[in-house]
Amino acid sequence: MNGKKILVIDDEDHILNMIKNRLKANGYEVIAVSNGLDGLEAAKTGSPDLIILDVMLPDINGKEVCLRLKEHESTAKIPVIFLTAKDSIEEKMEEYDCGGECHITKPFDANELLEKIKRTLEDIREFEQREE
Amino acid sequence: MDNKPIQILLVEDSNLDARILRKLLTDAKNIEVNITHVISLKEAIEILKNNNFDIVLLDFVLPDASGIEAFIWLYAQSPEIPIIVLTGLDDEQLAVKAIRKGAQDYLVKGSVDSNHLVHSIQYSIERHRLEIALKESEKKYCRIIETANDAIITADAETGFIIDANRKAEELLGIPLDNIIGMHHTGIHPKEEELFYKKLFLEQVGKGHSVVTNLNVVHSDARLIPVEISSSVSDVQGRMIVQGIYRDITERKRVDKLKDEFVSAVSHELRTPLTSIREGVSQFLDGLLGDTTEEQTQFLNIILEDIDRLQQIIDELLDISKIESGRLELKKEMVNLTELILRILPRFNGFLKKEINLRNELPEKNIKLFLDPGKITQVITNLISNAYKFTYDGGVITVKAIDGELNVTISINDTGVGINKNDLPKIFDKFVQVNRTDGPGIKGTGLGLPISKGFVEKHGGHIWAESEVGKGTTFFFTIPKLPEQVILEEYLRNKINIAASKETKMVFILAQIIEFEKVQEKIEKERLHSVIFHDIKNIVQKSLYRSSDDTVLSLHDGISVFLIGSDKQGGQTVTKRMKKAVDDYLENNNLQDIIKLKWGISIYPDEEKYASDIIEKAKSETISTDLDISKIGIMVVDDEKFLTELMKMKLQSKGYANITLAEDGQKALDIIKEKTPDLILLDMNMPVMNGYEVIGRLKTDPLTADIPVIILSGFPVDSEKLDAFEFESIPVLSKPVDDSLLFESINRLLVENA
Repeated sequence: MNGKKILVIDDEDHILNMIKNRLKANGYEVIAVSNGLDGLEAAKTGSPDLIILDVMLPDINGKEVCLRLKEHESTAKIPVIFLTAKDSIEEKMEEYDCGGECHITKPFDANELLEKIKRTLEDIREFEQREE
Repeated sequence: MDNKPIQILLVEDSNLDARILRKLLTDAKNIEVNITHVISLKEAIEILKNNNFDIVLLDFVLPDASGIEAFIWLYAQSPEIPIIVLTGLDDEQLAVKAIRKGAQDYLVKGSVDSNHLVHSIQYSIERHRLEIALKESEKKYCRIIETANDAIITADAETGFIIDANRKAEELLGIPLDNIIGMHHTGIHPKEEELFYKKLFLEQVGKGHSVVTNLNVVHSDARLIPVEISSSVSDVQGRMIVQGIYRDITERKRVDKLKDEFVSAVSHELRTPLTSIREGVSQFLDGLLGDTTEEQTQFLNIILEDIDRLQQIIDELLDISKIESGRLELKKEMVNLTELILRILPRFNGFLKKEINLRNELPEKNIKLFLDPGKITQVITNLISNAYKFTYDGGVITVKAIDGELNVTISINDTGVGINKNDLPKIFDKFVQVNRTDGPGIKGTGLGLPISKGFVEKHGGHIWAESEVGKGTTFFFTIPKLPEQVILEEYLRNKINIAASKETKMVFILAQIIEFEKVQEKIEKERLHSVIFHDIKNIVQKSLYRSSDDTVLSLHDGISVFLIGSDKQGGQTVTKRMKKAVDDYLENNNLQDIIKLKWGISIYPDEEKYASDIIEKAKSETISTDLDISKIGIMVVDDEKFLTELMKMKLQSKGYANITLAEDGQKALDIIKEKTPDLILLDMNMPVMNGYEVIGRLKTDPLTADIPVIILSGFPVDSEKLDAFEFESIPVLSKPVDDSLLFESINRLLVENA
């Protein structure tokens, strides 16, 4: 167990379960929710180390979720990796503008996802150490 | 006409004059004429109705009409016949007037000889014929312009005012034709983009040749209409004009958008189920769901491969749709091409389990290029995969890069089956799959090469192939080397376009390494590279809360680190945060004396609209407090001379060299008029004019309203008095002033007002 907690927000139950299974198998603790509002709540109460956020959500979209996360002091610093099924630069730009760390396009390669998670967590740690 | 006699109608009430003329004409050797003589205008008009004449000789003094009137009458009746007017000695002026109205020539009676007369007649007939032909062609041209399906607008190149427009222009703009003519050409475009159009117009005039651009015009009902303008400059009788053909592309844009949305939606719908299928299969394979037999593993691997192929097809369809609709956008950055290629090659290890030798011939010196690494990786991967497909075991594939002067040429050579000469021109067409004769190749989507072509051309390069059946094929593509300034401008322009299309602001923050050459001497290359490209880049990104895509870091030719902010966070705050983070980093690593950065900021569209202006502004108006400190003008206003001197010393000790002192408010204002300081330290209680009034005067004058002020006061400041002026909070420091507080405030204000 590496002990890091990851919040996954995706409305596709199949995908949510599979990501959960994959992350657990790799030693992460996982909170899985299927809509934006639950996601925001889980981010505040569960204090995850990282959030995987689908862009297309039924209630409030992923970008809005990200913006709200960045507005709240308690959740502002949690890195966000976007999951997107679309592939357009304009859209990616918006993700960065609302504070996402990076994105991963569906269908993804599990190794790529794991690698991005690992690197993002390392970057954050490095940056925090420097700030201290 | 040469052989037939010239039919002349002579309108002349004086018989004597008529006889003289008749004699002159019959005497002439090389002309044969047939003269009909009438003595009044009425008769002339009557006879013209039923007879054809080649020319009319019209006397200016007739019994029923005289002077210019007679001419105008006759000309109106028969504009198709050339007229020569006959005048007496004293009314030559009138004759000139007649010529302006359309007469071909005039002859002064009594001073004409035979030759002169003949010459005049022949010349007049010929000239009239040409005039009619010209009028016909003008009519034809006008008809074309009038019936054209596009709006055509002509403007004077020098003044920019519209001098002509057609009906379609009236329709496009919703403005009556009469009102369009006389408008300034910028008036038909969105007002806030006026400057942009002015500049474009001037560029066009400067270049002279025709250009095609996509822009917007404003309809009178305030609608923005996208148009494609092809414009050209021409010289019409010494007057330079710019003619633009405006094609309404609203419908084209709508269809493009629909198509894009459709492709995008379909691909989204396909990707979602593909995600769970792929992840499900790979969890089986990775043993997450229990053990699998060897046969199961083998089948699952095949499924996984096919899922990836399916995904590739979706990606390629998306790519080609973007290329075709012209909506392909590149995410360009400075890339080390050598590294990029070396990262691609290992992916082919064991590819298709063939025994093929994949080699590279790359120049020793790193090649740095401004390109979209994702897209160029895709092109190279595509070409190598292709080469693999058509090469037998034991063959060789060579990836080469040649660093030329203007561009870099990358080639992928194989010793495969080769391409038939007839097929060679077709290979970049969509869905064309050329069967390289007897090859071991597998069919793909047929989109790989057209996509590669689209990507390369979007970079401004070319792609082509050379081949010989049985010997092999070489694919070449080029990527142009752009000057640093162009790269930066292109980068900024992309950002501006994004901001413009989203109608948001974009804040550009540019940091430049001061005296970069010296820095290079003091610090080892590898270290410098890692400091700039890894550490500083990371810090900058963290302070932007954003990924690498918004950061350009270029060390080319020794300039700069350039960073781009965006609209979501206030530019000043970001810059400050960024600057502080970088400064702290440099200090912690003992680099603060070696690497010094100059920071500049510029906001689109509030301040600058063009990439080049943004660069200039960000470069010239720096926020630096490290170097240009000596140039920053600070004014100290206090009636206690001792205090002003003391303050001057304090400021000088921190490096501020440009300090002016004033002993009361009035004197301060006088000095400010002459030379505007960058910041004012202001005492409140002074004789002649107190601090409140100084602030009031400064803030109500637009020329001085933006000068930052710090109040230094011995007494509590009457905030109500200040609020009455509705100032934004002006920092107040009470005397005796705390030094660190003072310099912090100065720094902050200078940064905020940079």
